[in-house]
Amino acid sequence: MDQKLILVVCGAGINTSTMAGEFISEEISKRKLKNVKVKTVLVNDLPRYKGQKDMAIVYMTKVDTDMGVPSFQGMNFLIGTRETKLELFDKILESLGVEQQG
Amino acid sequence: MGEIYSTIVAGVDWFVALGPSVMIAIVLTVLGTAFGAGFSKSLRGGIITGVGLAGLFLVVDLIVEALLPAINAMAENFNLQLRLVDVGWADAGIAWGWPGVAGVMLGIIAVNIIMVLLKLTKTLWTDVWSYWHGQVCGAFVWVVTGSVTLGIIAAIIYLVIGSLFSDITAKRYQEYNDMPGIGVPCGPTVLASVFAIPVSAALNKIPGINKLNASPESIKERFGVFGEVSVMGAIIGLLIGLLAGYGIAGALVLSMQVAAIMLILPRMVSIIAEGLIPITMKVAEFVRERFKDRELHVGVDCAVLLGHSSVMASALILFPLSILLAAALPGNGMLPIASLALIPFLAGAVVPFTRGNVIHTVIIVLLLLIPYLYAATNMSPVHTETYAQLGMFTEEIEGGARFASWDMGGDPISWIINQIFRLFS
Repeated sequence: MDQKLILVVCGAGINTSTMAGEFISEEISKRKLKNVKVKTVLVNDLPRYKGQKDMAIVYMTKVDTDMGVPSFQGMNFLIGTRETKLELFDKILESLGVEQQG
Repeated sequence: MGEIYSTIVAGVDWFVALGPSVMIAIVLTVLGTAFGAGFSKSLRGGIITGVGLAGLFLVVDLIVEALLPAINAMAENFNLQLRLVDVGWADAGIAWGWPGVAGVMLGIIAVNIIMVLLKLTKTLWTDVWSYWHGQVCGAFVWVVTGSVTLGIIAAIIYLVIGSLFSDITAKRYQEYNDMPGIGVPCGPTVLASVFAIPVSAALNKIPGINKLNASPESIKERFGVFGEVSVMGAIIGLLIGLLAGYGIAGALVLSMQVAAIMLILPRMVSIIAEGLIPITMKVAEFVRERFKDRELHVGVDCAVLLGHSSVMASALILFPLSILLAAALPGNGMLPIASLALIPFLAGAVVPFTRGNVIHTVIIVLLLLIPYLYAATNMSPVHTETYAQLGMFTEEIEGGARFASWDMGGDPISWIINQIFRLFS
């Protein structure tokens, strides 16, 4: 099984990315997606992940670097209703080619 | 009546005497469960926030133990007035540890919902973490008036001002950062933005200055590793050690201590914030469901504004300049070190209004820091007394340590509110 990574990028690492990361990791464990991992990083650390495959990026702040992987504006994880949060999460999984049962 | 009142007072005193870490763990467990986040999640959150506070105070111990004597020695050598200890975001410990904390949380949620229903604001105050600025404003008022109720009212006023300012600034944040639907009601952020609007317009009219700009990329490249917080802290510590006459060995030790302070303090703050997530999620979902059909700005943390490369570039230039400003400003008593962590947030608030112009952003933030420094110096007695009332750092205070910070000790809105509430004491 390929390991997939969801990278949540934020400006300060204090609050926003943790909120989004928490929602994503909860959903991952709820759906028992064993090969999907979520990680929160700071904008400044983003270049380290350049070139990595099987990765999707969730931006919690505006970022100028093009990472060449599927990217999503993650603000809905903070301000959305439960419905829109799940919708965004499904889109991210789809871009990673993660298959879900049921 | 008198008996009931004295029982309540005794109860509150007992509660406060437990210290901020214990108190916030209990408050968050109860509130989180009441908001429907579930007992175990709320308990975990409460304990994590308590741990964050405990960690925060360890860092302050290090600041007082290591940095304070060095700054005093340096100040003596160069005849400077900088005698106050900059505790930076340790004030989050006041915020989540004063007796009005639960009252403010419930109060601002209620007041905000009423204001939204009456169409007085378009901002939903959903970012529970950022209540902390209001909490500290309230705690300072509590200390000068002796009334928890007045403190809670002051805190809510501070937070309401945040939502009104957010109404003014939200559109530009959304457009400049590609984030439809958000608002940032966080006090220091919106104040910096509201300040930036006229000043930026003025800068654009001054011939010569209006054309100035710098490329954020080249600034970041030039600073390189020296732009990293830890490296910068080490350099600042080394310089202070040398200026304090510590000799090479002593300066090297101080250098690592200051690096530790600057790197660890924000990490502790992030632990505090993590514990608040269960409540924040519930509050955000609760108000969101109720106002589904209206076009509103959902309040998020100011960190969302930090992504632009001109933010970090401006901050890098501002770090040394703001230290020099503090040293040069007559009557200022605080040398910013731990408080430097606020600078990226101020730059992040200004950049949308200068459209990423680094030089203009630097000028605006420097101007804004002048009232911050004076307010921090002026508030220092109240600030120190607040820690004393919460039973924190009592030995250090007895030993003569006097505290200050930008966020929230120097917050200009909090300072004005405090002056007004003093009239009631």
